[in-house]
Amino acid sequence: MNDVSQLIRYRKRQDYYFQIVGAACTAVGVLTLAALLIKLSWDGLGQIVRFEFFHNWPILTDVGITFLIALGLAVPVAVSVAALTTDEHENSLLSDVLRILARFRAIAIGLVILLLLAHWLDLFGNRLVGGIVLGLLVTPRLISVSRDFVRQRPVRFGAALSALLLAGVVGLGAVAWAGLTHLLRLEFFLSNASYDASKAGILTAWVGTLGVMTVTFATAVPLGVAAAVYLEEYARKNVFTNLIEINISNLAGVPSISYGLMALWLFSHLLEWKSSIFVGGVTLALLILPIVIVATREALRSIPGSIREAAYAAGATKWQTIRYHLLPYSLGGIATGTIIAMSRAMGETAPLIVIGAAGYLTNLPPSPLQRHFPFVSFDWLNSPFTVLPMQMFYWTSEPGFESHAAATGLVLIVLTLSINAAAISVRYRVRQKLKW
Amino acid sequence: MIPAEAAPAVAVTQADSAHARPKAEVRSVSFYYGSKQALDRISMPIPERSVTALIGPSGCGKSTLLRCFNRMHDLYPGNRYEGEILLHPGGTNILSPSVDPMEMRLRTGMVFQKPNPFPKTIFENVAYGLRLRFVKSRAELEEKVEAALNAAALWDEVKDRLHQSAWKLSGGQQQRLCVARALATDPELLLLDEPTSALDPIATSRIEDMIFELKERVTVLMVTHNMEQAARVADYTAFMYLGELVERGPSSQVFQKPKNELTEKYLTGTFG
Repeated sequence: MNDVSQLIRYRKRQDYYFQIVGAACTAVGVLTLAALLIKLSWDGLGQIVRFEFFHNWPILTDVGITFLIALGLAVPVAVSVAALTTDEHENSLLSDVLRILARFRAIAIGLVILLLLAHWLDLFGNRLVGGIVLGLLVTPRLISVSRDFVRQRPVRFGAALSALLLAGVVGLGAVAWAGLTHLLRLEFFLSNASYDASKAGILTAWVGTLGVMTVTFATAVPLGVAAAVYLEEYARKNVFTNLIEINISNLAGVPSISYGLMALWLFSHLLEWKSSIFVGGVTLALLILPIVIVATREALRSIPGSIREAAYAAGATKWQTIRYHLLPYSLGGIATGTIIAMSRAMGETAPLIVIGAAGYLTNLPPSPLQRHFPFVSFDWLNSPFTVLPMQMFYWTSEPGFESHAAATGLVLIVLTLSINAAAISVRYRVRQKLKW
Repeated sequence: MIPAEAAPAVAVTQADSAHARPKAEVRSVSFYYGSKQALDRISMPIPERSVTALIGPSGCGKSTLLRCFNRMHDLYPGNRYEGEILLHPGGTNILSPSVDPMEMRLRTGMVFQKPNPFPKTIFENVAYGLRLRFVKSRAELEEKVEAALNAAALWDEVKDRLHQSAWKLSGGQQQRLCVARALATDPELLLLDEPTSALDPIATSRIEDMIFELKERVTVLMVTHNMEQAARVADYTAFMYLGELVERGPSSQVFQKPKNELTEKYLTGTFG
């Protein structure tokens, strides 16, 4: 009896000591990380943010002009559309389109991407363009808001109220827009690399990252999902498929630089392709393929057997079951896995160094849009590239570019965090919707 | 282990002659989960446009037999059938390896023990079987969905929310939705695997009424734990024990004058 209580006391004490050690380790770890992050931000923020923004306000005229253009465009369009589309159009295609556009968060993301892409796509301009873009982007939201008002209240009161509301939203948007353009040193995002530290920016790097990620996404997702569906639903379970399965799970843990070596051999030695956005994208696709496959298979396995039985009992073929049930129900899991994989691919440097990505590049790849028929071009796939982590890696060895490297690191951190946040939000929504 | 008079093959009783035409004939069917035998040479007719109930204690193989009718066992590896189940008209042997189960299942409908609606709208749940058959016309889809929901006695409750998620329905409504889903494609044979075991008495009696009306149109084969239910809705009852068919006949005869001692013991609750 005494022994037992002694033992219990001993176990408790052990547990207590461990807690202290654990807490101490956590504190040291977190503090170190925080200190490093603060140092990085301190060094890098100067490249991104105009600190003089906080001292003078010569921007009011800009804000005003952008605001007026946006208002002049959005309000008439919104009010007239709201007035013209009554309840009987409720289920029309137009209102569906509006409803989708009215997702404001998506619009905000689109806005930022468009703003950043504008230069590359050759439509970056002045306040006029800014105002028009802003107006167009907020209009659908305004339409749906003003329609709600018109529906709920007597018409005149509703119209007045909605106009007021519109003005408020557009005004806020315009202030945010103009403020953002003045607060952020957008030229850091919109200039090419340069030996002149005051002019150097990360335009080539993030356009390269965008291009490479596009290729990675377009190759890894279809390949990975198709492979996972095949392995899970069609392939017979035998020694061979078991072997493949074990291999795939383990491939996810292979050091990324090995993928660079494999890609170098395949593309450079065997196919004799030069290093390009396409080659870089496919290399990273190889890297994340196992992650996509594993995530998809997990998602497929989480669908309960009773749903499969119901699907097959009605006479479905395998493909029909996959198309009507398995893929739609596992979409959330696939999306989450893919987003996380993409965020990993975005930060990868080692395999790209091996296949010869550039560190210093002053030319953008050719624009995917062109002025003459057929208006799109895929030449960009074939052009040399750099990506954000490559650019950062290059700058770390250049004296005078410390703050540029830090700023790029900061951009990468923010990007990765937001991508992971998107993954979490997708997962949360799917769980809300599909609780087996 | 089973008294000698319980010969696996049960002769067609006189009452069957009223329904002379069998919808399906089970002929000496054995079934194995891997090396474990679950059914031993079962033979019986399934008369057309009537309800046949399979009863027996847990593990007697009644669900296993039911799931042979639409080859559900093919979804899992290592299962093996012997014997044949002939499905009329045509006399196709359902169990033949040359029959494609996915094609054969188009002729049957199944309702499971637990309601398992798809996470889609009510309309899409019922229209699912039609979509599998490439029915594209909106009018035809709507008409058949309404008819199926009516047959499953659910139409009045859901007609105003056809495009809401089926998961918002109550358990009893979900099960009737599953029945509607199975009925939408006009199956020849409806397989019910303890369809009311997860439901309360009110929902159960609604399903039973529905089964009673359904037999005008389809042949129903149902598994049930509930002997009163079998006596209430089934025209024919088959009692199974340890993978063998002990007795089968018109329900009135099986329940009132069981021929086999084992059936009588089970019905009186002496075992099982």
